Amino acid sequence: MNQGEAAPPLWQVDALLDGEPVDRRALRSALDDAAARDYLVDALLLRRMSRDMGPMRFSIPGTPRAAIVRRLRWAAAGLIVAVSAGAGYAYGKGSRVEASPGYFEVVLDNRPAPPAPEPTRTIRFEPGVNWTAGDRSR
Amino acid sequence: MTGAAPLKAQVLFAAHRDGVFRYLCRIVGPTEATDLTQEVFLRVARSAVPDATSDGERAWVFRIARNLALNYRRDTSRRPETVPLTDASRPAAQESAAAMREALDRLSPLDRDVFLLREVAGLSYDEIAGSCEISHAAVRTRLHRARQQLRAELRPHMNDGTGSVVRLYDTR
Repeated sequence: MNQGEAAPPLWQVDALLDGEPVDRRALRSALDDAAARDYLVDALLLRRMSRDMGPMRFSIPGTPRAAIVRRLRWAAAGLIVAVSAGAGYAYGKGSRVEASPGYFEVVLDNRPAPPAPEPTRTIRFEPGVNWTAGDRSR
Repeated sequence: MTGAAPLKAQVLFAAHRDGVFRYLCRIVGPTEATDLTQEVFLRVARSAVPDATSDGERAWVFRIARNLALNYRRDTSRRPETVPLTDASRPAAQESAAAMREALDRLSPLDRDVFLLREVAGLSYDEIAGSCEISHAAVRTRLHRARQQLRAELRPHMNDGTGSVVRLYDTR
């Protein structure tokens, strides 16, 4: 068959393949021909080959669920760090100690020192007493 | 853009992203198809969605996809083509996918688009006509011609026994 010219019986087979309306008598007549049956089978095989030559479903590579979860975790961690830093800054600003003026002032305290406490036990030093013998507690 | 437009774009994205991606994937490859699919729906979100039936909306979305694919192919055709250095033997499935890709490349761009919009995106003849801005009869003629040409070119791969199971309706 000339390739540029479609034979009408095969159009019925095409219509059947493609879900288009088909005249049942014309289809029956077309399918009586072995060449039309071969064409039907070959067209189904072409359909299968065209579908098998690549993926059938759309998906964006590199962004599976795990990666999205990982990104969300990083974002949450970043948010926590930012909030903590902001809260620390605000707290520090509120309770800031006044800066020192940058010089020293020496103050002399002339008040008398407080008296020493009374001893709890008095040791009397007496000349002639042998401290290494006998009762040392005297 | 009206307030309802982003919502409409989301609905269109949910409904047609896989079909648009499948179609683009077979023209420009999976990596570029991912970017282009996102670009398609960015344009959908920025545009006023035409008041049409759901079939008309689908044709409109695929018209955007087709225009982007044509622009991409035109731009990349100016760049030097890269050739893999390895000459290792490939499994039969990869061989047949590569043969299919090469055979699709030998089709005229419009025949290839009509074929892919039908077979991998699942558009009806009317929707393909709307996407490609051709008549219903032209869709039928071009689709038949594309099948005949692919069938002739891929006959060795079709008879190697690897694709022995076929189904009329593929629900993937």
